[in-house]
Amino acid sequence: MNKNEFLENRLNVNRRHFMGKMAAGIGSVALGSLLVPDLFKGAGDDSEELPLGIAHFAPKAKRVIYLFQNGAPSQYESFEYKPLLNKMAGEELPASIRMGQRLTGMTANQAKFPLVGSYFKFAQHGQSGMWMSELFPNIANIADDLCMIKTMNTEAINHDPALTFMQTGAQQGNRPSMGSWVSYGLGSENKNLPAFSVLLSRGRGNGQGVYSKLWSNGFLDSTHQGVVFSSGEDPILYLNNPANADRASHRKMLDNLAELNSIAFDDFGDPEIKAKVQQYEMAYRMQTAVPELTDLSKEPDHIVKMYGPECLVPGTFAANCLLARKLSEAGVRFVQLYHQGWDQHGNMVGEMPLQAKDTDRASAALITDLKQRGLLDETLVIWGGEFGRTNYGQGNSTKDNYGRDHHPRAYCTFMAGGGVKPGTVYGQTDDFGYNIVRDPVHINDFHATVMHLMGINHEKLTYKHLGRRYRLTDLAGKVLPGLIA
Amino acid sequence: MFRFQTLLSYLLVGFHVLLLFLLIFQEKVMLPAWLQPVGRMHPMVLHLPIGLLVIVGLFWLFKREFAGESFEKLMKFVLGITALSAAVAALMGFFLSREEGYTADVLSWHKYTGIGLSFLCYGLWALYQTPQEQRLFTPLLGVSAVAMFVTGHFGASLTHGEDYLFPNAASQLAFTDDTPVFEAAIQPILKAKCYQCHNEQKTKGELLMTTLSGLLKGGKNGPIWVAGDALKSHLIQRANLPLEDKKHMPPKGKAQLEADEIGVLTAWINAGANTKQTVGQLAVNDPIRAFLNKEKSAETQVATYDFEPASTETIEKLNNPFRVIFPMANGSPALQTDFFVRQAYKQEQLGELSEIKEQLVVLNLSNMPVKNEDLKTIGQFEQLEKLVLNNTDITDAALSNLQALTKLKSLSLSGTKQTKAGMAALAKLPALKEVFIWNTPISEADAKELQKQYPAIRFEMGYVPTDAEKLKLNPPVLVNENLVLTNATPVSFKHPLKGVTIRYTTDGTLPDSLTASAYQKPFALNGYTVVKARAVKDKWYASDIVEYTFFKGGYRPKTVELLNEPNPQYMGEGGGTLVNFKKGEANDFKNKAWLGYREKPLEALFVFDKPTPVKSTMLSIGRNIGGYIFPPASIEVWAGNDRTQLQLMQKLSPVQPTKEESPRIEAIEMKLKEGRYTFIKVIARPVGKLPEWHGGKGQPAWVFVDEVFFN
Repeated sequence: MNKNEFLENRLNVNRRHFMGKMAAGIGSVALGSLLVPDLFKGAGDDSEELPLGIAHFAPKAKRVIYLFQNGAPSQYESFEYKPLLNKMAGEELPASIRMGQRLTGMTANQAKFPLVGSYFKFAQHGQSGMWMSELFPNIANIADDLCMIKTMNTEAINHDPALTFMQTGAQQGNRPSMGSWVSYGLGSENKNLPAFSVLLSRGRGNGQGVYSKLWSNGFLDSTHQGVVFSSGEDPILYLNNPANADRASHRKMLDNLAELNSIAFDDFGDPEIKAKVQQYEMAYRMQTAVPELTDLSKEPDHIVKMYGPECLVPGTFAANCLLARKLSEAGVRFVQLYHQGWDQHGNMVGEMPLQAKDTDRASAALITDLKQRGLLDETLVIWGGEFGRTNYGQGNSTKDNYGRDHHPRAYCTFMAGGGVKPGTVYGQTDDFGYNIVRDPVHINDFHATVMHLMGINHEKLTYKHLGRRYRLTDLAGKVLPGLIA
Repeated sequence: MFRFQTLLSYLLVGFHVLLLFLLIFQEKVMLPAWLQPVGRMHPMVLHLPIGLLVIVGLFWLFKREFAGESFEKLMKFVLGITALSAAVAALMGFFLSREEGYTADVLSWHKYTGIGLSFLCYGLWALYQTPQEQRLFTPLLGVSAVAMFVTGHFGASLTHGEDYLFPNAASQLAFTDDTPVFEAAIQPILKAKCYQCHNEQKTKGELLMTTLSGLLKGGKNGPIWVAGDALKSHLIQRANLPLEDKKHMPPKGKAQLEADEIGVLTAWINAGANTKQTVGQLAVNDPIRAFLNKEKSAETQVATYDFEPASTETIEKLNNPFRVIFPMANGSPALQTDFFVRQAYKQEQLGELSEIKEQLVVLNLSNMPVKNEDLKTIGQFEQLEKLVLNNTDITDAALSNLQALTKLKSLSLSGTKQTKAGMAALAKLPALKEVFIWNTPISEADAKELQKQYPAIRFEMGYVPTDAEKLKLNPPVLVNENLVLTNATPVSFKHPLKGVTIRYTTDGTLPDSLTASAYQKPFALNGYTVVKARAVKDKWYASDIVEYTFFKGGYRPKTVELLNEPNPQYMGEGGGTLVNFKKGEANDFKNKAWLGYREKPLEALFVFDKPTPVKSTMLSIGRNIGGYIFPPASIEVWAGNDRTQLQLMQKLSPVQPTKEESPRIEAIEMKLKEGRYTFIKVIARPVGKLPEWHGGKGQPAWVFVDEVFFN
């Protein structure tokens, strides 16, 4: 803040406030305001009409765990069974299917677009008969708990804008993340932990980065920002008081600091000062809340077998899944995981099994673990990436090894619990998996539906910024009842 | 007017004689077909006498208000048409009763009371003609009113079904996993849309749908369904006909089957029209299950709470960071309370909730040190629908305290000490639907028995580990941060999983998972050693083998002079890099721990502060064949006590690789003659030309060194 901004704060009385205040003093204006009470109130803000910190209507999901698979896992090697691609392997993708759709710079100059089928076998699972690749045996075991969307589609074709779109509802990246919106709309259930927590892990496949803008609070208060946990042995660093500093003196220090901050707030009126005080207080309470999170003594030994032994190695996807369950159980509204390494432009056959091995067991365990504690009904688990991959090979593809480029037209994402229809396949693509035939799920619709499950009317949760109201779905998005149980 | 009265009296006499005649000879009378439409107008006309009779009653009640000559006339007139319309309605009703589909008691009751009512109205009219008999009028009017209600009730039972007025509420949508699909989904549809015309009283088309035997028998066109083939089944065919079609069912004007109801009937018939299959046996994605859940959720969604909301002050007062109270949604009076942080839990905090016990619907005490006696307090929160007691300290005795929770639907007991015996208390909870018993002493066999004992409750066992499923352990973790051991630092390993044995070797062989030395406590090493280790545990596959190369740092020179500068890209941290005991990694040659040479040989002079009895020098070099990093072509070690007069101690040409291999670190040891030295010089020359088989044949190779040790 420079000096001018301090001064401007003193002038922080806008036209409407000014007229509103004058109305009380000046007779004619007062009379006008008596006749039309709202004359000087200005346009009502939707967010004022619906109170914040509470669901608009009875929620089906109280919390979300988003297992984001960063880099775009191939749908053809996971959940989208397209035997035609194996039959027509090596043949050119028909122009009637491609319909001149946009390609990335990586394959746009390719002379041919030869179709490639999955190297991995598929089988049907559960009473629902869902098709699953052999790489995901544990997820296949819980097929009847899943709501599999085959028709996710996005507008972005490269990782960064697609990730940003998936997480914030816009490609540019100045907007609040989904978790921030939920924190803003519903508040925190457990005030001793951040309402929006972020856990990172990295697989052995070709990876794409994650950036803090993905869990940014955008224009919302910074209390709604995603808090990244460390991938080391201590998920939260510097939690303990320094030697010789006891809790009482820490408390006293915080009280005095809060007093000074409140003087500063009176002076400058910067809401970030208040946010800061709240964050200090939460950090103080986290000192008691976090040790319980990392304590595994309440867990039976077989929890390790359930999530796989990797769950004891900090920073792995399995360890993050276990931590996510503990955070969610402790009332954290939105737990966002990112697992990197899913960008298989080449060496699909080598890398896909490694990525699947990292995620399959732990993802299924997380859902089962929530279920056996009676939490799955109120916790929405989401598993998916930012877009799909092409049905044709990138570069020199053979039957035994190949790569796939980015494909935003249709891809798979599954959800479980939290009021979605279990054992359901939603939407359908053509036999090439290229275009959507029935029931598309655009990202805006997906966001609207997730918000709906959380008891939020996505059109009513808004924030006024730069002269207009914004929402997660901005100007689009409709709730899809077909996904809701 | 007089003529009208006369005509009326003749008509009334005629109609009533006809009625009597028909009643007496009803078995023998054959009615012509053209009378059918007349009969079918009965449901319309019958409302006329009802309304008129009510008007008569009201006139009579308020006759003082209207007293006068015209009142008498008016009464006579109204009574006249009342009696006439009653007689017409009765006649039409009689014609209608001849149609098929109405049988049994209700119809005859309706017939006799209807005709009786007609005669009563006739009597009322006749009575009113003679003023002296009017004292009988009031009681007769009363009798007529009662008769009208009785007749009307029987009539309504005929058309709308007997339990139309007082439906048996309990029978609606009350099903569990053990209810046959037929009762849960099929019967309710038939009841709502078909029973009206196909019941015991009114069996149209000779089809009785209210009983299973009737359904199986079918109607005059034969059975109504063909198990396994919905499209050949009359039931579905009729429903799918156009609404205008005469054979369309239910007939036009009656409540129609919804699309999803036809869907359910079709799915059920296609699946074999099994009347015994239970809801629990349905596939998760069976459309019938989806239909049932929809009906059910539609029911739960309208479930609103009629209790008063708690005051905002009370909620605010009770709220704190460790006990969070919030309404289920905006405007809902129902409250949820969560407890957080085990350390912060105090027993009295639970008791304080009695202030909101009228509104408390969900209580989450997961991971709190809740004791048995605390459940006495919880037992008073009668509105509770969901109670979470996962990982609390309660035992079997506790659950009997919950008897008053008649609305409790969901109870989570995972991670508690509950046994099968404790579950007996659950029998007394009428609304209970699901109980979570994962990680309790309750075995799978117990759970099966419980499920049989309490079919209305779903017991969730969750994940049960089996010995058949074996997983691979993750490898042991080295605790030492530095692979250079000084001052007898021991090597120490750990493994995050309890009960794991770490087996290791120090002689370069692969550790056998049964016979290799088991790691007990940190162990010391003598000089350069390759340690290989793996984790083993009963009922798990042994882990991958991890390999660590340890070096021993003995004497440390005071300074290091690099006589040749390394390649500018790989300068490390100067000469000190070689003696800082910081090891590089084989797949990260950009790290500052490495010095890289290509054009010139590595030539370094190590200076000790006094003559030192060094016996050997060890070079730690990197090998990354794909990255052009080869072992040196030759290594020389010179030593002495005058920097200008050093003696060659040893010259050595390391064995060169002959094929591609994965990156690793190699140690090369050089012996010194016995003696004390202040200066030691090491020269390592890179391979000048890469061999023929290598991708970069002919080009110069690199030499990378991260440490030089003196012992």
